[in-house]
Amino acid sequence: MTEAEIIAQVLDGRRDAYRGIVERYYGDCGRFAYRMLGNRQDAEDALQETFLRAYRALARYRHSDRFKSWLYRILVNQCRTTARQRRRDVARFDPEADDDSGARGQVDPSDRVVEARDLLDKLLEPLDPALREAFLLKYGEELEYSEMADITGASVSALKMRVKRACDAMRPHVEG
Amino acid sequence: MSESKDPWRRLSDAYRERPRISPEAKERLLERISKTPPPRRSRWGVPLPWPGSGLRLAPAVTAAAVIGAFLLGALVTRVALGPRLDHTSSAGGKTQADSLVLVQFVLIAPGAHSVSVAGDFNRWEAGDLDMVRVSPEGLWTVTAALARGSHLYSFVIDGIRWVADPTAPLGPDDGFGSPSSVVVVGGPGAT
Repeated sequence: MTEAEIIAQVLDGRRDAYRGIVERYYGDCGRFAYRMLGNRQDAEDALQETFLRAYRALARYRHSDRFKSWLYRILVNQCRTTARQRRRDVARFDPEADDDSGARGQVDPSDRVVEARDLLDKLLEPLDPALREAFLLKYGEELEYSEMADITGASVSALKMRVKRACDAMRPHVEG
Repeated sequence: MSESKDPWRRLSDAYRERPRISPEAKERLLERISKTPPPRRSRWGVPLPWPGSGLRLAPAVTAAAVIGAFLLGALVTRVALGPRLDHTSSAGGKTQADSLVLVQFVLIAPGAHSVSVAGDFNRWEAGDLDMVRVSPEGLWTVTAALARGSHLYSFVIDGIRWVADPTAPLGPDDGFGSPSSVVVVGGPGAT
């Protein structure tokens, strides 16, 4: 079933059809929310609100827009709201709280993968939230700058600068 | 990444590894959806037009707009008339406890479908304090009882676009580039 068909069904009153949207995007949105917010509990909270708000606003979605961009606009704003509420930036990635043993996807946690994952967490943690957000959208979600601008409300030039600053901050630790 | 060296690629791969969000969380979400009224099409059966284009303001509103002279974004013209501290009108005044003050927020957003106020007084929850459209020209307003002191807030348009009130002092950056404004409730003595 296409996204358009799912949306049409939901708008016709079939609430259960929305599961198709959730199944399709929950994982990707969770990945972004987790990296933005730094712990699973906040990521789950942000996901709940994101998908609920998208559901309530579905009639305002325009099919000329890419659905993922529309959904990510809500997600990005929700992550910002959650971050404002939590004010947890000092302790974003908390391995004790997350207890990562066996808690990550289906990827075989080889040493190298674990090492890269830990490095990513370590590099993201000190980044200014705006830089982190721009970096993740660009190099995590691999979005075009124009799409990022639509999602974040920031200008393309501002986003390019944020990504550059994020890369500059990370480079010594990555290419070291 | 433009820095396509191997270490960057490994980071990119690490990002793609999805953290496990608990299956219970997803089921809770679906349960909440099942209890939420289905979204409704507009009465014309098509999504409503995007904010912005082509709406003309009535002269009185235009005058206010000129006085305000604020254009916030290319797609939507919004003129914030700001929060009004109202101690004298029938709707305003001190509250029973004499510790809360009614504050009226006003915004002109002709193309908006919904507008709310989010601030430190409602845990920055977009949608918690919805404004009501009171004129065809797109005048939105809401009144809230706020504690004395200074508060940070933003307008949230269509649930996704956060804008500051251009008629109010800017608050500190929230770190995401979303501006906020400051309102001081309770007069000069408020802190």
